[in-house]
Amino acid sequence: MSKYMFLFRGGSDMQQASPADQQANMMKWKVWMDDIAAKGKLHGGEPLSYGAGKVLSGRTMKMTDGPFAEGKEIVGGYLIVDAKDINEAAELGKGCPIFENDGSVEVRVVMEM
Amino acid sequence: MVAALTRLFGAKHVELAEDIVQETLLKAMHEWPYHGVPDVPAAWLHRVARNLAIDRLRRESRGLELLKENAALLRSEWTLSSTVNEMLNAPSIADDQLRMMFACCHPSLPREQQVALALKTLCGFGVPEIARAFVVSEETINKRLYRAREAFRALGSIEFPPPSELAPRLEHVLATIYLLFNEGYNSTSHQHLIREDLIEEALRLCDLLTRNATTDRGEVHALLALMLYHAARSATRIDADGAIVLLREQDRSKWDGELIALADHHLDRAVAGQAMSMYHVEAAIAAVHAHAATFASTDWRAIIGLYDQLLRLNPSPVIQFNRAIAVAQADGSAAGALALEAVKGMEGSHLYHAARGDLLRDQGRVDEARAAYTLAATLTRSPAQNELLRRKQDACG
Repeated sequence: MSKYMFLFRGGSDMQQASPADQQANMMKWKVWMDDIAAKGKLHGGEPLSYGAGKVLSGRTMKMTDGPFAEGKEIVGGYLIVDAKDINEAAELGKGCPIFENDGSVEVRVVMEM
Repeated sequence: MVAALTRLFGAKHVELAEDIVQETLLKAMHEWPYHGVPDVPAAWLHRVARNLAIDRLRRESRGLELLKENAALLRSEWTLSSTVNEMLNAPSIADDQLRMMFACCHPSLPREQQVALALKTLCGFGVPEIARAFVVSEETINKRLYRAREAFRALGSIEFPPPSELAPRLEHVLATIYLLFNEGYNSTSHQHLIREDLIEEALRLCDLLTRNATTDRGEVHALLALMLYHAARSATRIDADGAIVLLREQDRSKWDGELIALADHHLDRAVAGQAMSMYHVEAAIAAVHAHAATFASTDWRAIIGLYDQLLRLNPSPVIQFNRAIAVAQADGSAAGALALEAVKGMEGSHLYHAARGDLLRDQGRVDEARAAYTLAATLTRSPAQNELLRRKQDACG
């Protein structure tokens, strides 16, 4: 069993949606994560706000305000799951509700040092 | 609500769940007088409790050892609020109450602790009320609750017992519910309101059991029927001065026909079940009484037959005693006295001596009757019982 990270990009900004839509959307995420949790494969993860953000870069730690990318490129959150290999991890990722909103899930292996 | 929150936080944190409910109610007391009572008070309380629960989980989720099944979902903001929402959702609250009922009535807890815990967490009674209901000090109740909570923590999870253990565990739950009911129905030492609350809660919990597919069983319907037959008569059991009115003298026109009809319905459902329990027979006896137009026209033969059945299930002196009373009605006081003589093990009960007194009086043996009443009076502390016995002594001349 290794750890894999899902990086969520794009999708729609739920903070702009109506409370009812927000709740409906969160319910979909819960159903998906419930399923992973029930298999004992959910480690955790958090959604990220589309609002305020800063980027520090370079030797001078030049600070710029977010957003950091356009639409589809914005990272909206992450999740860490257990899986026996990258294929199983990718299979788990297929249930993610982000696809309904044109988002993407990048599946990465957490490196064991 | 405590039940739902306890499932959320895990059995180890039953106090945390109680805290949140307390906080919710305090908030209501502060806000409602100024902003008015919300349109749907239950929904308001639900929403506030949910938000408080989410706050607590946010602050303490690292430190809390939450239920394993939900730990991952409750630790992530992705799913925290929808998980809390779902766990506090109205339909699942009933299930949570059932789970909690089984946990409160766990066989590893002594009966008195089971009852105290059930009243606190399932029925929302305060410590002073529970203390008054059982005529003990608040300190005693606090001790019972403390020990029960300790035992509760050791249990860890609050889940339904597996199917193989359901029947014996259900028996414990029913016994506790019946105890709760009897505490409200029989005791005359405490305030009217608490008695009514105890009866209502016992009926509510039993009704809840009938509404769940797993616990919708014959013996549950039988107990519910039994309690409903008794409850139908409760208004006529005590007169305006708080004295007990005997079955013989109760105003049958004041018995609650709706409750009797409901009891009949549950007795039908009970008989359709597989198992035969004590509650079945006791409910059947109560049904015969409920449907008799007068005391004299009661079908005493049927009642004696039912007591015989009951004795086969549970050969106890109390049942022999009740059977003897029925014999006296069917075959006269001499035959009744003879049957009563055969009962061993009730010599310490005021009921036994009071009944013996009645039968002696009916045979004209007034001196012996008076002695029996006097002995009975020394054996009970209930003011209502004592008053009744005093009247009977006086009647002996």
